Amino acid sequence: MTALTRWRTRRWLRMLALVILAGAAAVVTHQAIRLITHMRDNRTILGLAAGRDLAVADDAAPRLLFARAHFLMTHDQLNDAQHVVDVITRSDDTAMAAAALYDLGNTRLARAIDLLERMAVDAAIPEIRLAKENYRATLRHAPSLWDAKYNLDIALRLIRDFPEIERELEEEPRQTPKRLWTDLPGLPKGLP
Amino acid sequence: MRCSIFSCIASRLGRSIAAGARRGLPRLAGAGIALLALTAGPVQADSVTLLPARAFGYFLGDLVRVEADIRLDPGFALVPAALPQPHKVNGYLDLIRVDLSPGPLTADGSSYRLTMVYQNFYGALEPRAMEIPAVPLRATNGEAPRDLLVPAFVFTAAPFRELVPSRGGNPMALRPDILPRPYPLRPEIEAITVAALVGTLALLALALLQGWRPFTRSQRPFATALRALAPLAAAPTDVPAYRAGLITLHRAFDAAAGHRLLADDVAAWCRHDPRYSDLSSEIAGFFTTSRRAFFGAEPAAAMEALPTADLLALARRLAHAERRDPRPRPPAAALAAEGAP
Amino acid sequence: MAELSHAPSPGVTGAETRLADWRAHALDFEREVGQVVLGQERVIRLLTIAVFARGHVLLEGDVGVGKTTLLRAMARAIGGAYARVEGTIDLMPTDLVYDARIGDDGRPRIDPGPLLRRGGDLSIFFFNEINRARPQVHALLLRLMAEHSISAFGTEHDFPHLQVFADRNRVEREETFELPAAARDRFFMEVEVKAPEDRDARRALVFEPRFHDTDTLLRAVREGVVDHRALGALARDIQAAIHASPAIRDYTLGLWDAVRAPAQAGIRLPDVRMDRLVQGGASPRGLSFLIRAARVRAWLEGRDMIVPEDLRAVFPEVMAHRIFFDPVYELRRDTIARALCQAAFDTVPAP
Repeated sequence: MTALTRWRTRRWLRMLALVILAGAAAVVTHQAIRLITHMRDNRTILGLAAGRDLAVADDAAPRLLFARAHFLMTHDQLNDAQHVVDVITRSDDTAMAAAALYDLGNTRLARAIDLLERMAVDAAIPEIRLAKENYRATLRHAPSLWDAKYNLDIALRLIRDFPEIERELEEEPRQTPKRLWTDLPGLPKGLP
Repeated sequence: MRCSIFSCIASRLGRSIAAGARRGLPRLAGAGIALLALTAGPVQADSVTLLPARAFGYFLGDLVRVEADIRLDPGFALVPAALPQPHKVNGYLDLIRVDLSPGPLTADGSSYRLTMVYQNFYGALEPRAMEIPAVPLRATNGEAPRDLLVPAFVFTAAPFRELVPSRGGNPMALRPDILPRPYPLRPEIEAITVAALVGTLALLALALLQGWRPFTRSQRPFATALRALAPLAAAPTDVPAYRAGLITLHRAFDAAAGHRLLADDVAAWCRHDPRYSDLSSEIAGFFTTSRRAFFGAEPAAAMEALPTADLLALARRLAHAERRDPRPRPPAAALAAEGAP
Repeated sequence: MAELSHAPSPGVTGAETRLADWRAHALDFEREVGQVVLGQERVIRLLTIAVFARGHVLLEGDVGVGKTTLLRAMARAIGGAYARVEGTIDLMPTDLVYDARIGDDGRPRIDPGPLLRRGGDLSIFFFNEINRARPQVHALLLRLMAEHSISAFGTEHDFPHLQVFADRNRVEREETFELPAAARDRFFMEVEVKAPEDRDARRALVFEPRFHDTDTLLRAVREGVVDHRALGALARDIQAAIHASPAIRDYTLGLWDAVRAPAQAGIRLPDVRMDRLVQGGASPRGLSFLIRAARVRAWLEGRDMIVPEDLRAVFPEVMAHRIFFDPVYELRRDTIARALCQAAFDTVPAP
């Protein structure tokens, strides 16, 4: 009886060991493939960050696409960047989508501020509107991304786009001593 | 219990329609009686109540969660098509999610919990009350639709930035970009390490259980004997070597049985150790031969009965058999056969 | 008797045929005894070996396990006379030889005692409770066992076919005289008789009426299955015919060494200091008895050679009582002796 019990235990342990072994082998294989893929992608990501113009296919991983998009943004190819960002937003990776949209908004807003400093107001306005859309989209993906909130706030103060609320706002007592850049395109008077 | 909006409403609707149909005739009669008796119809007890929620301190991009408890009269169900869909409410407010979960269906009617999540996009310059407009709903019992209203909700939006930086600094300074970062490889490396470790342990356990070299706990006497017998193949007619080979195999039998195994013990031992039960006749033959060789002092005759090649074949089969782990026989079969003297 | 008239097959010598025929008789003998003594196959086999080796046996065992019945059945199957004496503390050597009593005419008379009464035909002499008798009685018995003769009425009386069976009471220790080592060494075997282990045998012994009346029971045993007068010659033939190979000689010596110096042989027993366990014994006479018994067993098994199994089958009975332990261990003698014999066979390689 005990011999039978011991034999059953041995058989059971054997099966258990086999199952664990198979599971472990599967995990190792899967993770190794992931690791190799990631290492290859990391080379591309680091290459793009180092300023090399490396091509990335549309069906690549969102992180890779984001690196490509960022490269395009920093190299003034906003139209191409917009396309890549669209591809990213169609993926499931909300973090990458938020990051890409945020960077796109940043690029546009920085460009608008640059234009404003060069007094090219008309060219700046559409950029600001697009930047605001990018930030809103960012926040839809990541409602707690504070940098996006902050930069959207800057963009909103450049162009306030809710006239009906602003009118209501006028009725309230003014507490702010100075208001700068609040009613774009209202620029400081006296300048050309 | 939460089902999709449509399926749960549809089922409610189906139930109420069926109930209405069952009650159709009495209803008509009842209406007549009601007119005659000048009594009002059933009192409408539908209600939509907002759950208490935080109404202050919302920044740009924050989510505003509006929850409402909806109670309907018996037989009534919400009309799915009339539920609000995620959309841009106005320039500064998006409805981004709507959830409807059914409450308990009681005799008093059905109840729902409606959750609507808005996102505030109003960039406030100073704290300011904002209104989420009332949301119309529609319920029906299959005959008469009823309109309901989720009341408006007022919250205070607030700025998180000074209007003018009081300590200087550039108010146009943007927060920095999120930089692309390479994949962190640590999780994969850790997973591979752990899995490899677990796999190695499982392999070790399997090696121990299967008795693989060099992890075997029990020695393999027949495998050892087989190696020791290997030179015998080169000298198949050498009688002293043959005798020595028989002794080698005897020692292996002793080690396998745990005591000195004599010819009379073979049958009982084969019954006791199921690994060798298939070989019991061959083993008995070996012992008979060995008897002739040693105690009958006729090694040459023994060699004819069990040639060297057969001896080696038996050793090989035994070495193979000792690695197996067959199911033990029931104890009744393993009765110790104590030979009479 | 069909076996006796069986014509010898060509190429087989007369002695071999005779041995084969006798073997059939020996097995018949065993069967005859076995049908009245249930559940004692091992004891019967050992006593059969003793009969065909012409060795005296000391029986040990509790009261009422059937020793007397067994011996009477054997005596009947062997044929020849059977005598029995009860050992008591006041038993004198002369009481075995002479029967002193007052005759019918009122005068004292000296008649032949239990030993002499049946003359030279005496084949089995059963000494009951030998340890109750005095050492003087033991001495007489030992001479009888060794020389098969005694002096009485001024002449030598020979008992050429005599085999002595003695019984030792192990329950009582008071007013007993333990047999000296020299006496025990002369016994061919010490056989322990226990109540049968087999449940069916025990049930039959207790409930079947035929076991309740010994005399009727014994009448079922066929008389003279073997001829007691031929046993001596047969025993010599057996000893000559069964050969011992060099391998079995080495093996026997290995066993001897193992029981004489168990520590050197690598034997370990629980709770025993092996270096001082064995104080002496395992005499050469014992070894020769062992080989004699093994030869008979080999013959009974139908072999013409001794194999280790033969030694193992008789070893405890022939050897254990010849090994003398340190007094510390004498009290646990039975357990230790059994374990030592077992260990010897588990240790010494065969072949």
